[in-house]
Amino acid sequence: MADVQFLDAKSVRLRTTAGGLVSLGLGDTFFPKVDLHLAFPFSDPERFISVREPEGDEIGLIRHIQELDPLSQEAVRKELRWRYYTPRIQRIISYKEEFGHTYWEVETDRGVHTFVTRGRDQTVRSISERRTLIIDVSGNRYEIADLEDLDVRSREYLATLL
Amino acid sequence: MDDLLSIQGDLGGLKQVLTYQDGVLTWKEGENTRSWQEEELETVKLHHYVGSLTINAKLKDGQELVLLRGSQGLARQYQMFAQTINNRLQGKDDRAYAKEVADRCPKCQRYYADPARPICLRCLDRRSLSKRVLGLAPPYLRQIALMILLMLASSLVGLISPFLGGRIFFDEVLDSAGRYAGRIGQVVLAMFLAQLVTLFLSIWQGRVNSRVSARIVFDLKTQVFTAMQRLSLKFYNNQQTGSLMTRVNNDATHLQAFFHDGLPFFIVNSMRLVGIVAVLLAMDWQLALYVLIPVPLIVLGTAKLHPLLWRLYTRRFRALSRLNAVVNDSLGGVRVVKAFGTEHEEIQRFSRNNQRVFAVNREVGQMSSTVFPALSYLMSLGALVIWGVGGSRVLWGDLTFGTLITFTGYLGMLYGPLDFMTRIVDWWSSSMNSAQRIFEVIDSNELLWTPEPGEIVPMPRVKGSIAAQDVTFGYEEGKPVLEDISFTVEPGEMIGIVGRSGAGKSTLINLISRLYDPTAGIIFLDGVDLRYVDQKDLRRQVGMVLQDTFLFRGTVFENIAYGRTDASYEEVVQAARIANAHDFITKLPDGYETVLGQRNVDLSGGEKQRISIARVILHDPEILILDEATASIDTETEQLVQEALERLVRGRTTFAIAHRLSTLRQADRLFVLDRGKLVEVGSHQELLKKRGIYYKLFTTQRDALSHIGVAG
Ligand SMILES: Nc1ncnc2c1ncn2[C@@H]1O[C@H](COP(=O)(O)OP(=O)(O)O)[C@@H](O)[C@H]1O
Ligand SMILES: [Mg+2]
Repeated sequence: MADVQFLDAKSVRLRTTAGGLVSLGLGDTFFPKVDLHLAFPFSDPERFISVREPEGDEIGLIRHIQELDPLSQEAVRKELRWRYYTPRIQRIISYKEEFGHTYWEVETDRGVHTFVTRGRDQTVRSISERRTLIIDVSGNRYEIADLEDLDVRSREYLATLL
Repeated sequence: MDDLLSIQGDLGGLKQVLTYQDGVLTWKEGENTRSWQEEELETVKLHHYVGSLTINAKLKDGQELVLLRGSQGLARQYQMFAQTINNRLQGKDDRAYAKEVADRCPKCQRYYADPARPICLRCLDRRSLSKRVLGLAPPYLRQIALMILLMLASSLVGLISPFLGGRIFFDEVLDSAGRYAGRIGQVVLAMFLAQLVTLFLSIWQGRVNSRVSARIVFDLKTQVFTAMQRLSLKFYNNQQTGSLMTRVNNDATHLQAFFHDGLPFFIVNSMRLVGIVAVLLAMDWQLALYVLIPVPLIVLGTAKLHPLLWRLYTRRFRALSRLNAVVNDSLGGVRVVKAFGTEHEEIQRFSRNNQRVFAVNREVGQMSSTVFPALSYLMSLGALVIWGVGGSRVLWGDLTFGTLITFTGYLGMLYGPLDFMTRIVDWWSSSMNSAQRIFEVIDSNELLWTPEPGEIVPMPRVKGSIAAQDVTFGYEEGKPVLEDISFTVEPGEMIGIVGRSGAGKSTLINLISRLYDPTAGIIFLDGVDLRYVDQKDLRRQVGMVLQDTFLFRGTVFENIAYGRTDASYEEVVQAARIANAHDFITKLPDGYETVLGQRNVDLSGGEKQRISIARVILHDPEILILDEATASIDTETEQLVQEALERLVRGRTTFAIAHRLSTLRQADRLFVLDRGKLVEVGSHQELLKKRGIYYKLFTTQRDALSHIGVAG
């Protein structure tokens, strides 16, 4: 119970199902649906992936995604991309602070997004010196890979929120 | 035909639509469609991911599929959709869920900033908001009228001084041809009087103002506090933190500052500005125009520079509060720091943050020592223009020396407040925002559902039977914490609730004591739906001892007699005896009159717990709730507390949660919760025989405890 249970990468077969979910074949056992959770979503999203029964126990940990066979890798990447859906901000088109809320319009790698953040607390989270996360009122996340890529004005504005 | 229900996916550019009508669920993406009949569907469910949502369908043939993916803001909408279909599938009445949820402002079509708070800040009728703020004024109308009169008077009188000191003094007194030639004494006296009157008027006005604005804010705070007491816990839950009162207090103070300083300053100065401009124009309109030249520059300059400075100040504020947090952290956790020998790391953490404060402080210093001198330079330029243009006209002889002096005298009065006037708009809107937040608390309808007055069932004495019927509950929509719980508990029975941490034990007792209402299903007290039971009676008959006891500021006596102010000395002492508290209380320096919450009185966890037990004993409730009552107590005093609890439990319906299962030996039955479901019910022996979840919990714990040498 106390030991971390790593899955034997060779016997793991993760597949995207016809319904868009992820199934797991583990030796002789088959799980029609499993959930994937990242242990270190920011600093290392490829390592320590927890495979769990839906709303239930952990089946085991995957040490590194690259230990898996290509099809499993593809299924895992696809699922994690949705689960941790985080558009990457390339440019801040506009922001407007009004009555304690900020209205953003940003260009991301997944298209233009508009969203609203509230207040100044827990809105912007700094992951490293330059990597930054913005969290909107509903809990959606937007990542800024490198603050230096932003224009000066936006960067200064973000600094007031940090 | 049913109404058409429809939701859309909004992630990653997928144009997916899901509709439901007349028992048919249809999925569409561009040209592709699929549909399912009601008979094929098992459930439709909302799933929360970390950065997104999905709606999944489970089919009767066992297949499960993702139908739609959306961003988190759609949770409410998706949940309603899923719920409606599920209700239909289970043949339940679905009217409660069929209503459309408004997620955007009907006026401007923008999504609400916060879906749980359907207020569009942009379209919010600001006039009605200000009307409402002003609506607090009527009781003080006479004083307010007086205040405005005083302001008017003091700004008028304030205008006289420069005129006396310039035009009159130089042109009429010092000039031998003047009307008051040589009468220096009289003019100086007049100036003295004018200043005295101004002083008197502004003191008077300030005093009235303080009284009125303090009074209005007092009324507001009282309203807020009353409202907060009335609100259900759910409201506090949505507000994320317990700092709500602080925030409301800040908002109220902010509002008061605006009424007390901002508004009067604005009124006085704008009247004064109009007055000055009028006087200047009347004296010499050409020179007056020169005076006005720098005005747009000053206004523009401050309007441009202010946001810059403000951003810097915000950054400094945040850097400072982070530094404070670090200091608090390491001082508050000083024992941990010492124990782990991490002083060095703490110092580094501190200097890292201190470095940031230093950097931003430097920036602020540099910025403000540039901006403010530049602004005053701009203003002095105006004076230079007057000296130049006016001076030469004095030489030409078409302007009197006195007029020139009067002009320069008014100059300062004119430019000075401009900086402030450009900021009044910001101040006004942020004050209105504060007002809005305050009214939000006052207006919030996160109340526990209340029956019509005629339907309330008074229950001055209860027998103490509690039953639950198909109870489901979640703190947030779509995330049930308890599911389909049913049970019946006889009067006087003791129930132990066990389960892993996070299983929903505390949540269950929150429902039993009606801090929340179930999302679905009913809880009965003596066969009466709990929601209809008179709240006062209910509160009186349910007693709670929790893990974190809360003692109020006040004496030990007051704390024990909390909610029973009529209790006599005998009763309180008797309760304390039963609670095993009497002994240590009498040893305290001031006995029962010892004031708690003050520095030199530091009660241990066990002592606090026994005071709170005494409180419950004094209340003598029929129903008793113990949530991890002995969890944060050292083993030595645990015996005393345990003994007190055993006396307390006798003859009352009791729900006890204890981490250490062995402390539930007395329980008649155990309820085992697992992931929000009631999975096992029975006595200790029965459950052990069953070899189910309880057996696992119990044996793991026994082994762990015997490992560290504690008898189980
Ligand atoms: N105030 C709350 N708001 C939102 N979720 C809560 C709240 N209190 C508890 N929960 C969640 O409900 C679940 C059950 O919690 P709780 O009843 O406190 O468990 P237990 O007392 O069995 O440890 C947990 O997942 C917890 O995170
Ligand atoms: Mg608990």
